[in-house]
Amino acid sequence: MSTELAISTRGLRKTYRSRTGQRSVAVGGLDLDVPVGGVHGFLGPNGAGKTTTIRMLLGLIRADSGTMTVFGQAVPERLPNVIGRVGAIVEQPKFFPSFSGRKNLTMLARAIDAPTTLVDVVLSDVGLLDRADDRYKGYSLGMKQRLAIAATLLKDPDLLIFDEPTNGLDPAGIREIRGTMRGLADRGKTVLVSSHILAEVEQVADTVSIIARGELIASGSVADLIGAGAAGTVRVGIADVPRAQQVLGAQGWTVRSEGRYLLVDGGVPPASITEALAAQRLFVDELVPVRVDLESVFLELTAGRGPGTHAPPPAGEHRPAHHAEEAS
Amino acid sequence: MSRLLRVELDRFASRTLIRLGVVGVLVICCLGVVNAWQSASPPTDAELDQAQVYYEQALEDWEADGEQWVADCEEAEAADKEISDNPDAVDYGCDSMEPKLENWVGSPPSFEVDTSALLTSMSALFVLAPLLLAGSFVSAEFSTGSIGNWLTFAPRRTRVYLSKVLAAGLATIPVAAVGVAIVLGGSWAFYRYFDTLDGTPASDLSSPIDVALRIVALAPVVAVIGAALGFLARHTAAVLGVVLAWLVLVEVILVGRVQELQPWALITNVTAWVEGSTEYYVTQCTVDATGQSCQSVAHVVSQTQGAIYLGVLAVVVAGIALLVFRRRDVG
Repeated sequence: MSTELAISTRGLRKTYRSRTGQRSVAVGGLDLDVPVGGVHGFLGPNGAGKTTTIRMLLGLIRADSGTMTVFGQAVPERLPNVIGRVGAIVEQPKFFPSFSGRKNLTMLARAIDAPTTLVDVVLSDVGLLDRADDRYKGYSLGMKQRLAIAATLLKDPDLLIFDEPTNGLDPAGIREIRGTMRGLADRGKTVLVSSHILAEVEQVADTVSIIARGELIASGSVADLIGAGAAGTVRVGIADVPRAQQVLGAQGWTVRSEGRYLLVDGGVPPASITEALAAQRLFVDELVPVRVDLESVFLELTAGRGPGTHAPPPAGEHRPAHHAEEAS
Repeated sequence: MSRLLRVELDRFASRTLIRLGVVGVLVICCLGVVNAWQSASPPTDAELDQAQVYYEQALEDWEADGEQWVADCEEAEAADKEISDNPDAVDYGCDSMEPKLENWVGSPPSFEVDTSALLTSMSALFVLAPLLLAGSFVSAEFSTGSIGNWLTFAPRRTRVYLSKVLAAGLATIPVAAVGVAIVLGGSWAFYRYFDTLDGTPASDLSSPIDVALRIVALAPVVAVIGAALGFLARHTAAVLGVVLAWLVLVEVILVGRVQELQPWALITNVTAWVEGSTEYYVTQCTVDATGQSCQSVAHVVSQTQGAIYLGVLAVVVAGIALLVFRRRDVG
C-alpha cells in the first residue's frame, strides 16, 4: 500500500442552516486520509456526513472551512485539473431519464473529449450493451448503478468514489458491485466506498475511516481495527456455569456469564481455559474464540453518535443473518 | 467550451418535451395562417350589397349632423393638444369623418399590412415558447439531479452555465425562424392565390419581413432569460410559476394601477421592439372653473428603448443566475 494520498482533508467543516435559522453541523472538522491504491471504506451511520464530504470533494457543495486535496491538488480550486482522474457516483445515479443509456454516456464522453467508441466498450464492461438503447428511466436500480459505473469508466479514472453503491440492490447486485470494486482496486485504482453497511465493506476494504457526526473517530487497516476491537474473547459452553466462573475467575481472568455460556476476555488461550477447568474436573461442551468483526467495532465506536446507531451488543452475541451472509 | 456547447445543443434537440413543444409552436403557426386566408380573400357580392346599405344610412346621418360632429371633434383635438407633451402626434382625424363605402366593406386586402398584424398578434407565442423551452431545458437537469453528475465531468461552472444558456439561445433561433416562415410563407401563398398581393404597403418599420426578423431576433434573448430562470428556479413548474406571477402581478395588476410604470413594463417593450414602436396612455386630469376633466394622453415607446430594455433585462437576469449557480450547492 502506498503512503501517497489520493484524498486528504484537514479541518473540513460544513454546516447547514435550517428554515428556522438554526445551524446543524454536517461535517465538523474532518481529517481524512485515503491512501493511493486499494479499497478504502468510508463508514459512518446515516447522517454522519459521508455524502456531504464526498460532495465537497467533488465541488458540488462548498465547505465552510478546512482544506481538501485530491492527488495532491487543492480542491475545489484545482478540481478541473484533477477531475479527469476521478470517477464518482454520489448516492443514486442520476442521468437524463428520457435518454437511452448509450445517449447519456455519449454526451458525457463528448463533454470530456473521450472517443465515443469507448461508450460501447464500457457498456460491455458492465454488461449493459444489450440494453444500451433502452431509456434510462426504464432501467432497474441495478442497471442504473451499472450505467453509473460505466460512466465513471469513461475517464479511466485513478480514483473511484462510490457513495452507498449497494443501496436498493438485491444480493446478486450487491455481490456484483463488490466484485467490481475489488476488481478495480486490483487493477491499481483507488476506490473510496462510503457505506453504512459494514458487511459489504469489510469484505472488500483494505483500509477504513469511520466517522460519526462529521468527525473522524477511527481509521486504519481493517485488520488493525478489528484487532484493536477484538480483545480475544473466548466463549465457553459448560454445564456448571457458576462453578466454572469461580474457577476461571480465580486464575485472574475476566469472566462474564451469559446464559449457559461464559465469556472469557483478555486474549486467554483456549488451551489454558480447558486446562484450568479440567483440573477441577469441569469439562467444556463448547469452546469458541469469538470473532470480532468490523460491524462490532463500528457499533462500539459510533454508539450514540448519530441516528441509526445504538449501544454495541455484548461482545459474544451472535448475529445469525450476518454470519449467514459471510458464509455465502 | 465549444465542446460543451455542441453537447448541449444535441441535448436540446434530443429532449422529448422540447420536441413536443416545438411541434406545438409550429402547429399554432399553421393555425395562424388560417387567419391569412380570411384576410386575403376579397369581399363577396352579398357583403358588398350589405355594405352599400349601411353606407347609405350613414351618409344620411352625416348630411344631417356632420358639421356639428366635425366641430366637436376639432374642439376635443385642440384640448388634447394643449396638454399633450407631443402635440404634433395628436390627430383625431376630424377631416376624414365623412362616411366612405370602404368603412363597411373593410380595407382592401394588403399582404404587408395584414401579415405584419398577424405576426405581431402571434408575437406572444414567440416570446413564451422560447422562454419556457429554455427554462425547461435547464431546470430539468436540476429536477432530475443529473446536473450533479454532469458537474463531476465538467466542473467549471461558468463554462457549464454559458454552454447551457448559449445553447438555449441558439437552439430557439431556428424554431422561431421556421415558425415565422410558416406564417409569412402561408400568408404570401394565400394572397397570391386570391391575387391580392398588391395592396396598401406597410409603414417603414412594419413590413412583414422586418417584423419577422425582429421576432426571430427576440427569441434567443427571451430564451436566455428563460434558461437563467431555469438555473434560479430549478424546476419547470417553478419557471412557469415565475412567468405567470410576473405577468399577473406586475404586468397586469401593478402596471394597471400605476400608469407611470407602463414604459417599463415587459409587454410594452416587447411590443415596441416587435412593432417598431408602441404607444401607451396616461390619464391626465385638470381642474378648472367648470370642474375636473380627464383625458388620455398618448406617449410613445420607441423600438430602441424596447431593444435596450430587453437586452439589459437579459444581461441582468443571466448575470444573477450565473452568480447564484457558481455559489449554490448542487444537491
